[in-house]
Amino acid sequence: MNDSNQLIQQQFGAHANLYATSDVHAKGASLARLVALTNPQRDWQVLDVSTGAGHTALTFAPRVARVIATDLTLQMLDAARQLAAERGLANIEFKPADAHALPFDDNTFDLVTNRLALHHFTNARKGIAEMARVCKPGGVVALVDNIVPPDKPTAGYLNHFEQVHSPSHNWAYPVARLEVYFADARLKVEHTETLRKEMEFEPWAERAGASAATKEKLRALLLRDVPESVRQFLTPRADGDKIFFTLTEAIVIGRKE
Amino acid sequence: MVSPELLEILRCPACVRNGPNAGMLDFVRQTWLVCHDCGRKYPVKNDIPIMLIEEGDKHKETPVEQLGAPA
Repeated sequence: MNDSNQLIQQQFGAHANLYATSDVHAKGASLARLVALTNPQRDWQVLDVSTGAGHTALTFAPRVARVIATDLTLQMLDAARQLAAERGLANIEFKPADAHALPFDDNTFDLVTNRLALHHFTNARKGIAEMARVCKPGGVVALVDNIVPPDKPTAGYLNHFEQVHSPSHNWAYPVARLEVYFADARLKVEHTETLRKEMEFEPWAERAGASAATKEKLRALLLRDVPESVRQFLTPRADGDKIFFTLTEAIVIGRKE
Repeated sequence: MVSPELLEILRCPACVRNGPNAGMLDFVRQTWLVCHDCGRKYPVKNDIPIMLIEEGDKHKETPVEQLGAPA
């Protein structure tokens, strides 16, 4: 297994339950928007790639015929399976798989989703190409991920900040780059939107298992040494002894030609 | 048990991009999925196929008749 995949498995394997109960992942606004934008149908076969604790798969399962959800980390799949059982969802299957090499035939799924995971991929272009490959012609690939502004110094700073937080973070892209990857995969972009989400620093750091020293480094990157362009993007603020900042998610909806 | 519906769409993740019908799998001994093309063998543990290429690599050269229960 390559080093990046091992990092992902170590990080998410150790903290699977925190992702299972995370409001950002379980109840984020982008989840409701994904359902509204994709308009799932009763007879659809859906694939949720890099499902994590399964929140996207669990949201779609009651609305479609079947959901298959994949992830690299077995502990995350166990947490997801438990949530599905608690909700009595029988039309959802969780399978270990690498998003860069999906174990499915071409043209299989009506909808392929991928939420808050692409920034961990070592090769985002390949990951999107795989989602497009397994999507039926006329079907939809729906992506949600954290994005960065297009200017390179700001994008570099933000990605460094995320890499300190989460060693398996590879790279978050500007939305224009995601749209290029969609076009490269012969996915016609039908809709793009961005959403701002305010994060509370402490639970965000805890979820990734940050040590006290790492938290201190993150606080410095967020509050003390921060360039103005990054401050405008993250809009950090203190409220009593709590620190908040804002991340930006993009939703990109593409239809396979 | 791997359901027939799942078997119908599952393919070897190393071979599936090689063209139509590439990477088709045989379900053998109720615990292994074997790729027609490359011979990689993917273990099925507690009814869950582990479809990772590095898992498939581990027993690629092992003849099917010598496969034991997945570890």
